[in-house]
Amino acid sequence: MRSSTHTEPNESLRRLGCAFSFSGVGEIRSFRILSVACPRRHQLSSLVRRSSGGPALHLAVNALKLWSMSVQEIKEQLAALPRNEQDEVIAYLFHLRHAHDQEYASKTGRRLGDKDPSHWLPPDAFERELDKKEIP
Amino acid sequence: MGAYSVYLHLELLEVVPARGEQRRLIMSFVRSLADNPHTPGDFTDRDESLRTRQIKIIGRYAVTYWVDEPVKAVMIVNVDVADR
Repeated sequence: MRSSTHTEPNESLRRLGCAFSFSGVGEIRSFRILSVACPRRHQLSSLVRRSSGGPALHLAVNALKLWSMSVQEIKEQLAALPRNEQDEVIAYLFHLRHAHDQEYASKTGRRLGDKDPSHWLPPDAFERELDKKEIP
Repeated sequence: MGAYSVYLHLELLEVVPARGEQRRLIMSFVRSLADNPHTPGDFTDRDESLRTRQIKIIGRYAVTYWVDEPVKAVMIVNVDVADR
C-alpha cells in the first residue's frame, strides 16, 4: 500500500530536533529521505551507533547518507529515479517552494473555501471556455 | 464507487493552456478523477482546516485538488507550472 509523503520523524529523532521529510511505499526499507535538518548532527551519528535496528536506525542512516552527499550526487541520484518517483520529488519541491508564500496560500485558501457554484465549472464547460480564449 | 463530480475553479481559465498537449494531459487527468477520485497525488498535505490536498504532477504542471466527500465531488483548486 502506498503511503503519503509526510514530515513526522519518529520519537528518537524528534528528540534530537531533527526534521525529516520522506516518502515511501509500504515497508520502511523502501522509504526515501527527501530532506533533513538536524541541529545536533553528532548526536544523530551516536544514535546510529547505538541503534540495534528498525525504523529509527534506518531513518538515521539515510539521513547521514544524505548529509554526506553533494548537490551533484543528489542530482545523480534523482536522475536515476523512475519517473513516478521523480514526480514525487517535483511535487515535494513545489510544496516547499510555496510553503511560505503568503500570496499563494491566500489564493489557494480562498478557492478552497469558495462556495459560490458559479465559480466552479465541470470539465466540459471549462473546456468550452478555454476554446473561446484567443491565442496570443 | 459511483462516479464523482469534478469541478475546476473559474480562475484556472487563466492558467490552463488554451491549446496543445499540456491542455490535453491536464484535462484528461481531471476527467479521470470522476471515476478515480481518490487518485493519490505525488505529494499530500493538509491545510489549516485539515482538508487533505493532493498535488499531482501532470506534464509540466502541478495540479492541486481535494475531495469533498459529503457531496462526492473533486475540486481542482490550483494548476501551476511545476518548476516555479
